[in-house]
Amino acid sequence: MKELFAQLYEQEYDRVFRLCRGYFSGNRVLAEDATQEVFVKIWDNLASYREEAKLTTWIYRIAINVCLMQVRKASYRKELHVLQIPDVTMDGVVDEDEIRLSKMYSCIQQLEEVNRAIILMILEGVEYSEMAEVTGIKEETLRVKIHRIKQSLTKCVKQ
Amino acid sequence: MRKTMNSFEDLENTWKNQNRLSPRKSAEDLINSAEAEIAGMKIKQRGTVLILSLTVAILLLYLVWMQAYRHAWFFTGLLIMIGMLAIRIVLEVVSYARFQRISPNKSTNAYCEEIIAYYHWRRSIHYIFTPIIYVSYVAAFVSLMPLFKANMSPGLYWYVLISGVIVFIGLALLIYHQIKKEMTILNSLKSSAQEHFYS
Repeated sequence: MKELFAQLYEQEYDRVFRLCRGYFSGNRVLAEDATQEVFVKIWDNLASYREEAKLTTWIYRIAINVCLMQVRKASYRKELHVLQIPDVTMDGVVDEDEIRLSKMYSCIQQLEEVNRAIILMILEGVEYSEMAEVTGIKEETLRVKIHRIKQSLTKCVKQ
Repeated sequence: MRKTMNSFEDLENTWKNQNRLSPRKSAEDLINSAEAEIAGMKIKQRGTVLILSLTVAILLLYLVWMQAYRHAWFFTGLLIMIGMLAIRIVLEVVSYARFQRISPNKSTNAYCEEIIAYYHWRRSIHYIFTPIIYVSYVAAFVSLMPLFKANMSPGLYWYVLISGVIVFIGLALLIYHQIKKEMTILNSLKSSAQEHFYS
């Protein structure tokens, strides 16, 4: 089991981190804390994994559910109010991608929590059927939601 | 529509071009941290039950040592205190067991439903059982003060009185903060579930 966990940890850390970052308005420190907590839960529950769903589906569920609870901790709520400043390069020029990314995180933060999970999975290229299994929302309902969420995010980032 | 989709494609590309982050800790270190955290949570929960159980044991010993069963009022007062603590222990054990059964590997909808149900259960404890337990325990304690005074040395009596007041005030504050924290979580979860349902 340790080998399986080590493999998952290496393979999925980055993806889980990005998902967590989406829940914490792009804050890297909070996202790293939440990511650690996700993998603690993965380790704690790995023995009970019965292949009832794909492993990535299982991991996404844990990641989203952990983030849903972590954002409610008082300490996290205080930290979230800290303004995120995009990284500045050595010659003082702000990277455009970083600005767009910062805007994206800020706009994702404005979405309702489950919609946040949906858009983060879309951005990660997760299949609709897998998204339905992760969220527990029917695929048909999900498709309608996704169209609205994409429009909402694009509009927000353009502003 | 195409313009919108192109813009969303730009967002997808920006997302995918993020720098890859490697974990700071090794898998082995994380496993060790995880085991420590899980053990820590169990100790914390058992610690609460242990303290309550120790208090019950002390009260029972005192009851027997003082032969409180010879005096109806003394016996009743101590029995109420012991009974209230016993109920609290049962509620703590049941709460912990209920929380442990909630698995984070369920779908988001199912997980939210279970968490909300858990905090509804905690709300019924906070608003029904906790006030009854607290008030009954304090009332029984206060009613026994004359008997304590008659049977204890002045020093011990004042110690029991002053420490009792401090503990009751401290407990009231602790209970208040815990209730506030849990009800904030519940309200936030319900509001989020409401938004999700109607969006």
